Amino acid sequence: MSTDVSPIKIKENVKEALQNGNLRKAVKFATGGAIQTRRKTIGGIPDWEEIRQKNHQTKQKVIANLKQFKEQFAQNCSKNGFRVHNAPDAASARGLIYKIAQERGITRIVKSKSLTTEEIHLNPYLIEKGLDVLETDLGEYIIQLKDQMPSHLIVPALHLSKKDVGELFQEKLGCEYSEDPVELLQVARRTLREKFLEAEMGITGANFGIADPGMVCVVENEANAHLSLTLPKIHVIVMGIEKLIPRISDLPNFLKVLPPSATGQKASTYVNFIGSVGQNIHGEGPEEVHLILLDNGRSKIAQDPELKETVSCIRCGACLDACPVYRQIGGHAYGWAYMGPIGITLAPQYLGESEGRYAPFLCTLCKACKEVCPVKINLPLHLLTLRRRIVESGNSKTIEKLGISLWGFGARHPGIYRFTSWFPKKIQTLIGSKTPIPAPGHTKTRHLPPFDPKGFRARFRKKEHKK
Amino acid sequence: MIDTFKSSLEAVSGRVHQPASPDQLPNLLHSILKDLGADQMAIDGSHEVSSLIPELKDHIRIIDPMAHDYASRKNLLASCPNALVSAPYAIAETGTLVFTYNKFHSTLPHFLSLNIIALLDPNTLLPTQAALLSHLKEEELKNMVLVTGPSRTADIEKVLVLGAHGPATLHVILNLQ
Repeated sequence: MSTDVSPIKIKENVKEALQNGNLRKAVKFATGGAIQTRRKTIGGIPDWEEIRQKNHQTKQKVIANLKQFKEQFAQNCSKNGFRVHNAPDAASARGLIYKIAQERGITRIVKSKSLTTEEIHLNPYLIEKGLDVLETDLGEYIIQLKDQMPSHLIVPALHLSKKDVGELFQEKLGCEYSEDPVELLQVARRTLREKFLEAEMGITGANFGIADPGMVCVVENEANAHLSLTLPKIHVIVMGIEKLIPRISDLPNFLKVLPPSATGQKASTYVNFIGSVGQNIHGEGPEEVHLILLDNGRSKIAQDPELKETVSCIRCGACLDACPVYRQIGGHAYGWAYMGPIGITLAPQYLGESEGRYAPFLCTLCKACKEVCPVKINLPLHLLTLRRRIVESGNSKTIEKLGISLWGFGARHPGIYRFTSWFPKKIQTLIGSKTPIPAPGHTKTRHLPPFDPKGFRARFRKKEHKK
Repeated sequence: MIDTFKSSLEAVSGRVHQPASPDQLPNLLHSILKDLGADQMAIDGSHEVSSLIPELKDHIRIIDPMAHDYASRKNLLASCPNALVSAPYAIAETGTLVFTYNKFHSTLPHFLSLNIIALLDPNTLLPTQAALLSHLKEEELKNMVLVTGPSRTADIEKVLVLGAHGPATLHVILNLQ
């Protein structure tokens, strides 16, 4: 997979996605079903809003004291036998993992789904170093074979049809063509089972890091994470430091909201708790557990008085399914590991304003994401903040800057404003009241609502007069 | 709580069985194994499972993974389609089995076989996850897996398929002791 993907290409990517009818159909189908299932499951949880609020408060507490919780977590994990490594950025995280493998002569690695490892481009790095790194989540395995990025936080191959997968397996795995998901899964299971049994290292992410008593929680449905963290002799956990929660008693509220938000399930099939290291008397379990604590900009965001809340995301993907923009373009158009409303919020913060400057504008501000977020992140508000900062720092387009300057000038001079606002309503009267005025760019894929031939001022005066 | 557990687990494609009386347990087990077409079965070495072996060994090939070294045990279990295990706790609200591991317990049989039959003492049912976490000792919490139904994926066109990398079927026998 190429590592040069970037949200700087969002505009081109969106154009391409909008022209791909199959992609739009697949994304619409998958997200539509997800919304319905989620709604049904949440309907059966009477204290849903109360739990969301509690989770929000717990996460705010962690963000406000991130350094202390991280230290407590690291200390407790060390006491429990973990080898804890701090990775300030993506490069250091990649380097640490490679070093662990290299020092032990490891070449065969199995991975379970981890967005954090997508964020740091771990696979391309390790593969380039000559290691055999295999994704084992079915969706991730499919896109690894396809040499693509995930297109959804939870369902990585959401953009592919069963026909696409059938052809891919036939080409890459040499099996007979089939479109039957059951048969396709059996092929993947057989292939990956062998790899699990041979693997020397398993890499997983972490859904939650519990500061007290120092343990990690990995949530999944396929059992591939469980096999990755129990069969190989070395287990590496890559965890973003924002995944921390203070105590084990905080966990049930997060486990109540994550599965419904992610997949519409009441409970995920497997919740793995890893809180000690050491093989049992039968020689089972990893000999070493390495915990990579990734910062990569998270501490800085946690100190931002306006945007700190954005690092409290639990990566459930609910905001993607709810987003009318994501539902039209899918995940690849966003150009990096995180997509949808949370992706465009994190892009300028993680990647820098220059690279992520277009991302926060890929939003209609409809607020659907805010409604579904299980930890109550006010994404629309944060997107407005990011837009404001991008404009203030001069990272907006010249045409936009010119337009806003002209509008600002007009707003300060009512006579000029009145004169210029006279034009659109006059044009509208000339071409007919129901014919939309063409606006370059804007009306390529949608209609501009017709201007009111009477104009706002006339209507306002009339209303005032009536009073 | 038993009814809640049963309905929650059945909602996620698990099967719950209850023998009419404790002495009917072997017959029930035979019946499930027959339905699965099982000719061999791995065991997890727990006391609850081991106590049933005398009544089973004449009818089915028993694979005791602990009798083999780790390398061969992995392959043996991976090729054995059935396993009989014991769950020390369960959560009624979500239909979840709780496997806790200590240095004596084998972790492999719960996940490598395609069909899992789990014995559960209904007296160990707890109402919620929160109740479980406050009930268990810290050492038990540190190595634990919560299992809610057979392994699954919907990664291809959102079609739900069971048996992704773990078991495709999960039978729970309520084992009154």
